[in-house]
Amino acid sequence: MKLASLKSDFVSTVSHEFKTPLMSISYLAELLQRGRVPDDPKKQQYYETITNESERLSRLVENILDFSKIETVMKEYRMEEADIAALVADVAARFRQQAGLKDFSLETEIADDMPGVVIDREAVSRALFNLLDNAVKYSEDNPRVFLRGWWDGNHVFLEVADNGIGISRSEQPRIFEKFHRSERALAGNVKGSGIGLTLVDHIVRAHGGKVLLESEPDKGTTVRIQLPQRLLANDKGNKDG
Amino acid sequence: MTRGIKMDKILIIEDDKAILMALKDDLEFEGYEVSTAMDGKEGLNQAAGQDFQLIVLDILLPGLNGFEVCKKLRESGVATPILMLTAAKTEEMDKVVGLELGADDYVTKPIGSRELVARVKAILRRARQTEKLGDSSKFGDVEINFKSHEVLKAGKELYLTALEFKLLKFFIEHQGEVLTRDRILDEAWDDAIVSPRTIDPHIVHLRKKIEDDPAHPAHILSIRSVGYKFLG
Repeated sequence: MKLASLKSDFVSTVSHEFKTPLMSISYLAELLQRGRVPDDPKKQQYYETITNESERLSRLVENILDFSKIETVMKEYRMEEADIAALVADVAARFRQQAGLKDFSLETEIADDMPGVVIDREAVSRALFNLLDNAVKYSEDNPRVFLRGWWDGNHVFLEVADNGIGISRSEQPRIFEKFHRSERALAGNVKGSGIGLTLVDHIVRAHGGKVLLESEPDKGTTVRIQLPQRLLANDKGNKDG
Repeated sequence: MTRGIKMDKILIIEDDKAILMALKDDLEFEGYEVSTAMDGKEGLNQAAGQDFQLIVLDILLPGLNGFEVCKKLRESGVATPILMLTAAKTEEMDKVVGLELGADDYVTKPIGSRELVARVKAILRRARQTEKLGDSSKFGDVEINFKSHEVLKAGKELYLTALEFKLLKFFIEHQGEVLTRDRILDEAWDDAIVSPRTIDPHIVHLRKKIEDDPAHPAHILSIRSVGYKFLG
């Protein structure tokens, strides 16, 4: 019964999440089409917003498709050699652009000596996107978000930290469960579908890694992805076979 | 774009910046003076502190949601018309609760510019007419309180659906005028995509409630091939 009710909430929440960017895209396009946007800078802002909102919609669809594949054990990962530092920088740049009108600061700290890794680039990017999205979403005004990447000689770490509303200790074990929404998120009417962290967890586990969580209510949350040494692409990865 | 000397002031309370920008620009293009708020608390403060002619209110807002904002505004005596904007978790409930809480109309996302602007104009027009009417009206043995949505016939309370109440109010506002079905649909209907004949069964229900002899109505007359006329 509980799962059925969560699923039903999921469907209505997802439909809301779809309708919001759909409305802004169609409304802004209609205003452009009907000549109700008089000046060029405003038109440019509309074009950019339509592009960003379309990408937001596309990410939502991808998340749901991935979630559905995970549920039916159909999800496949395409592992290939990747420059993880470039991937992190790319995710940060795209997130800044797509978050467009939102107020937040995103600072990236990526170590210079990051090794090459064999990963599913798209999946790891999606995991980081979901974490960044959560960091902004579950924060009060003007959130500060950090995206970090480093290597300790054994593992590659990717981390998203925020100064947001945080997660209580009692709730932390449940946040990766599908459809789960934290009580504070629900109480604060924070919109979300409850599948983002489930996806992150699945993606990281599929890479043989793990997700570590540190969080304190009203202080913020840090989610750290630890990727195993065996994913290292060059001879660094052969140290532990 | 200014229509008339005094511009109507509209407050939009919406947390999605892209939608907020679209609505604000559109309503400003129409000649309204627009203020914005991105959460319920800020919206409440603005609505209570300034004189607006209309509030466009999203339901799923961070912190205080749209229902709570609406309720608090009405409790504090702010009678500004409210148009609720919802992506609707449970649409039917949203409609009922929204209207019961004192919202004047609702629209469901995604909505386009033409429909939204039409709704805004209709609410503002109705508000002006209601202002002229006052808080209550009486015809025959029927008494209507527009604020409390109470309708009494011979002292006994009548239960009118939200649509029936809206229709009755519309008739009272246009007493003595011949109202075509198209005009009624245009100005007093929630759902824009219905056939003109959709009105008829609702009039039948309304007559059953307010007329002494619904088969021979004395208040809402049928005007053959055209529509209806309210005699008062």
